[in-house]
Amino acid sequence: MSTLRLVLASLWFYRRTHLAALLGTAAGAAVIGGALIVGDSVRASLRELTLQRLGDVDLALSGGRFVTDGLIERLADGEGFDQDDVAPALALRAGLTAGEGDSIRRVGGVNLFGTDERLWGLLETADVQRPEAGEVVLNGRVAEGLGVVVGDEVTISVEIPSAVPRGNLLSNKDDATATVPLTVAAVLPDTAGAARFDLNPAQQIPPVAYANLDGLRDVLELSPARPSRSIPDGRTGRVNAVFVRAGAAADAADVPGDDAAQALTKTARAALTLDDLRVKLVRNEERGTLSLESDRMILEAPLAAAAQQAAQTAGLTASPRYVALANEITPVGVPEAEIEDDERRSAYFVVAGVEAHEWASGGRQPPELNEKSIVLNEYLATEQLGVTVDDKVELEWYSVDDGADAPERSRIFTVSQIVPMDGAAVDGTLTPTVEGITDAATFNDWDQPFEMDLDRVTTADDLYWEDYRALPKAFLPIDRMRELFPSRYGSSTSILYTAPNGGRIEDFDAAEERLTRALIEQLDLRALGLAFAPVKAQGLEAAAGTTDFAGLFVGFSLFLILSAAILIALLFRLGLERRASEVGLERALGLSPQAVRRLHLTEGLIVVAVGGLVGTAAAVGYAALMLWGLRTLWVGAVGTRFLFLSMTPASLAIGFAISVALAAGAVWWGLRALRDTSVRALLAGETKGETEGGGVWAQRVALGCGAIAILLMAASLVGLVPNSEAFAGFGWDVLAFFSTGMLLLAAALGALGWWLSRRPGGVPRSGFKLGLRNAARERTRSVLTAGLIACATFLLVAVAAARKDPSAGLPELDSGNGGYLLVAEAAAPLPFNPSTPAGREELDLTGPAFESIDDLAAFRVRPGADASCLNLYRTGLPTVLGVPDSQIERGGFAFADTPAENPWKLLTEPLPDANDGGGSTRSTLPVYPVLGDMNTLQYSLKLGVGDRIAVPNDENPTAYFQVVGQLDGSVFQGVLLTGEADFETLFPTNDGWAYLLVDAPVESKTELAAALEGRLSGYGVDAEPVGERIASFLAVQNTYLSTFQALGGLGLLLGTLGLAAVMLRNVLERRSELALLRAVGLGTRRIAGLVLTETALLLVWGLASGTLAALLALWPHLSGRTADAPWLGGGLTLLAVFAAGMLASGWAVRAAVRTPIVATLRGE
Amino acid sequence: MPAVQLTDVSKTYTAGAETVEVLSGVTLAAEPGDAVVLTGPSGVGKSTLLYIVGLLEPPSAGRVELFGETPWEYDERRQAAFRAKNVGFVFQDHHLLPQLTVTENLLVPVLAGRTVTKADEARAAELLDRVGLSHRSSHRPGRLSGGERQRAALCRALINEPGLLLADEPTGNLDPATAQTVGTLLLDLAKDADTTLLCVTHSLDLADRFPRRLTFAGGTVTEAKKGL
Repeated sequence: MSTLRLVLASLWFYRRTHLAALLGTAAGAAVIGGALIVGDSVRASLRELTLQRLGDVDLALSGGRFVTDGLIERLADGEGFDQDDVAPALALRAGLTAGEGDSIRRVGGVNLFGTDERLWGLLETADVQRPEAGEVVLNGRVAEGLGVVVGDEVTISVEIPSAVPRGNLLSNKDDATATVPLTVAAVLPDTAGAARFDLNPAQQIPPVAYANLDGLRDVLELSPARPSRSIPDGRTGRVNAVFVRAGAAADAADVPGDDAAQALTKTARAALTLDDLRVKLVRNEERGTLSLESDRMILEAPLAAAAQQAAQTAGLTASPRYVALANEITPVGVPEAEIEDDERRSAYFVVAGVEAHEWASGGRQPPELNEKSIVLNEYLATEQLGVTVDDKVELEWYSVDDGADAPERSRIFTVSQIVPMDGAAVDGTLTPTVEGITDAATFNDWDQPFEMDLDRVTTADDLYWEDYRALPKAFLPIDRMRELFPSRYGSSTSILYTAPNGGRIEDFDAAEERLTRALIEQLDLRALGLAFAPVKAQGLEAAAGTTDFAGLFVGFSLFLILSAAILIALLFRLGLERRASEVGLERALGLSPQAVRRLHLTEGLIVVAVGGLVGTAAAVGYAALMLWGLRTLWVGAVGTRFLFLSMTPASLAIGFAISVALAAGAVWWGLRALRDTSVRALLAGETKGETEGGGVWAQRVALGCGAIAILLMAASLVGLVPNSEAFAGFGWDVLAFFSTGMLLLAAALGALGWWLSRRPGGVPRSGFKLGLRNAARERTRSVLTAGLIACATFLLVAVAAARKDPSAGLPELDSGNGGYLLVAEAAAPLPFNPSTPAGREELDLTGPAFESIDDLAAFRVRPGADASCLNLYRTGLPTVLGVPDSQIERGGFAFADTPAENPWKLLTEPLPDANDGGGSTRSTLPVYPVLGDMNTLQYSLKLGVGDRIAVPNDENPTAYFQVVGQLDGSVFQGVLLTGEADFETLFPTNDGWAYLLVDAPVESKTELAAALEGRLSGYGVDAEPVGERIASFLAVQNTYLSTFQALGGLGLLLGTLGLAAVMLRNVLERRSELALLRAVGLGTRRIAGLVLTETALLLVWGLASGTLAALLALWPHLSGRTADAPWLGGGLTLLAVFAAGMLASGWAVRAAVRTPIVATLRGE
Repeated sequence: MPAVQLTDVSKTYTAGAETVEVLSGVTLAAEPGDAVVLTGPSGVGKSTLLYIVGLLEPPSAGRVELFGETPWEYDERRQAAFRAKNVGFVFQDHHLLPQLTVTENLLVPVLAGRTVTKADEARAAELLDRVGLSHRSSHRPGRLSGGERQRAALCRALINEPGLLLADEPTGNLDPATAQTVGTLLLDLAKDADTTLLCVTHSLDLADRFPRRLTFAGGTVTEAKKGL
């Protein structure tokens, strides 16, 4: 005989009683463990999807920069790589169309890859043949969207890469896109990794198409070409993406990470040539100088910086130059007629900004210049303007970036020096080569980048062009030049190299070699988009998931878990009450209260531990069921059917531990009932029972919790509860909802306890009063039973009431749609601003269909990851939109927790620099304000107002975005919004406008969307109603709610089981009492009515308090326009619960009234 | 040193605003080996007194000394240990644990203080033999008759060889013949063990067999002369 023996004997003897508590624990463990396994499974599935999506692609270079075929060859020749390990490709955004006329179908935002056998060999292609020239291979999503099958023809619209940035004054905007007809050669099955190939992680299948690399390069003029008449200098083949299999270079067991990427980037640096950077060194043998210039016309800031640093290493002196086109220059103070008659003016010439010492290198003294000074060359001053030193001239020009879209600028200068046409003044390298302009024979031959007024061009201009082409006619100090002609693309058009102290370079070959090596060594490859990224490792890291499914399921299972805990406490307590005399005896025999408690706690713990083990096993089944639901019924929440069951021992252990801890707590609570009961009472089979004081306590709970809940509700209604994150991704508003709900439930149950404690006196004249008195007899038991029902009801009602119907929201300024009707996105950015009349004219957005447009906001776009709730992966910097000033002024949209009259204006308020937290060499970094949708900020990016996110990434930040406000339920989910000026500073190369919001009358919706898509089909524009876009986001939320409704159903099942157990226990306890009633003549029906009244009372109280608590807690939501609570369905569910509870009770009564009266009275 | 010494022990119960005094200044003493029976009408506080002595219900006032100690001044744990070592209980209802065999039931009080030894098991067997229940030692209480259960309960009360045996209506649930047997065993076993026996009963037959008898009335206790 031992304590263990006693415990084991008790366990076996009371096995039926324990079984109920065991099942309760099992239910809790199944729910918690299941939730954690769902989390594991989603993570593992996302990981698998990543591996499938990327195939053998471990590292990638896809910064948008076009590199040469030569670089690819040199990389592939590198150590550790096979030729087919390095795959060049084109990675473009395209719009696809199919069909004609009214039946035309479009799919925008398609990831179009130009592929040859090398990329195809790296992908999982499910034996689909790669596309030949003239062919395209689509994935299922694109084929379905276009309604095409193999053999059909589709048209692809892509942006033609431009050497000169699209936004620059001198770029050609007219031929911005190319349209290519291709035949569908194959449709990739969804199971093929190639069907979801995308460097941005997302579980949803993206729109993907593959075209033949060479064919696509021919169209985009990127294929290699030998010199010919049409291409005098020939052309180097280029691609903008390189995908690499680490292959033998990496350990097969590990996914190549940062180290591998850095190693490859180092290899790439060694293999780089100036051609890869689209720069060249131009010799001026006459002056003994070298000049670095770019095909882009302006040197990007990181390149210019490296070029200047390189000079030092190469033993040279560097001087930046900055040139721009002026429209006209005229003398001031000369009559207009004289200017016109004598052609004392000049048009379309270059103004150069140079450093003072460059003058010195020409052997002349630099002039004394102030901000109003200008230096003219002799030709301009003498031959054209007829001015001398100290005369005034007026210069007119277009903004370098805004071009002809903005008004012409002008300024009056004083001529401070006139330089003769020799030396530095006639250095042909001052103006870099711009194809179509600097190489034109005459002005008439210019490839006009904007509508030029050739009437402005004088004969002298023509003659000058013949002799000197684009040689600058006017000079300014470089700083002044940069100030007057600012550009987001850079601040140098070339770098002049001389020997030290302005001396001549004698050995050009040696100098070029030294300079090239030093320049490439100094380059910040990451900033130039030339650093390889470990895309597979990054994808796997992102697969850790932005959406914590385990947390989500545990959170929404909270009430279910609570129900299970209450059930366990109830059942354990019922079991102990039955064994009160046993406990009394143990005390009487000398066991200390602690020993007795330990004995029964051990017994309880063994029960819950076994229950936990059973539940842990059941958790696997439960998780499998949930995953089946997520793959089928609730696929809208996760957007992928590729979910499979996966679990980690830790999840199982945590699920087991939490459920057992909760159940042990419930057991401990059950034991408390015996704590203050006297041994004598226990021996008599009594427990402490209901005390008078309990009623007072219940009253306090009811009043206290009720008051706090009302205060919380009031605070929510008047907007005092912030929407920012409280902790672990939960917002304060969510916490307020749960707290209000819990408090209201506690208040309702306290009220029940209080009411029952009043023990209605007098003769019970009705069955109801007798039932009430019966319920009052075991008050705690009754309150717990009602609580069990109330918890599950709360979850069901809250989930049902939280549904939203976005279609209810018509365009309204202060709503999630901001008053806009349509949202349109372009695959290739529009080169003209469609929000201006001139831009709309250029884009051909004219005619009756477009007259209905009341307002149009055009945003610049820097593509990034999708951070909306549609993406389960953890994302880095999401897509950033540049908000135009007009939108900032217009305001609108619903904001949360953003105290400002027009929160958009927060985007224009500068923020102080931040200390550099990353690896940058700068000590402080600039901080720019951003707005974002609350859902995106809170759940995807884990940011709140005041938080910062690094640009472009945490590893190498160059700036920070600081959240200054949160939009509420807006169309802007998944993106960040920054002011256009800040956007241009941060992302100078993201030209054009690719995101449009259109305000127009509702009735024009369909026609306008079709018209926009039609006219802008070359840019792959996709337009849809803003309401539908918001609806797709809300569909996710509503699907989650369906999932949790199912959990609520499980909770109700537990509740009903608990109710049945309690009623059975009540009836069993009162068997003799009921038998007596039968003996004195009460019919079976009367007795059943008596018991059922008690059940009905508890059921109605539980249902009503759960419903009311949920509705009141959700009052702030329900008062909104888009609430879509399914009242009828919800009501029917509650009715079904009531019926199930009554049936359970009826079953217990039936058992009781079947027992023979005499035997029962004898206590047998 | 008396085994039991009560001095001015009172007990009052409070129910709402109402206070009921059950015991009022009870003073009594029992020497080691004494066999004392307490009689009186229902509700006068006989059992209450027994429970106060047995450390199961605290007195409202007064002093309770057991074997020279004042265990009501101890904390709960020490009190329980004192009870396990010095006090044995026999109740009107046997209170045998249904999940254990008869022998195991006997050994439960041993567990209060320590682990069960072979010697304890031997003593249990000896006690069962003494009351004629050897053949029932491995049976569960559910299979025993009322008399057998009470005999087993008596053995359980004596398993720790307590100095004080308290019996509350030990024959209350038994028929006269069985009551006679159980009563005999109670007195014999107590005497054999030199244990002080304090028994509450309504049974005059049983009371008459005790050498000393106390009568309860009006919250106090008076010594009754044998034969009265």
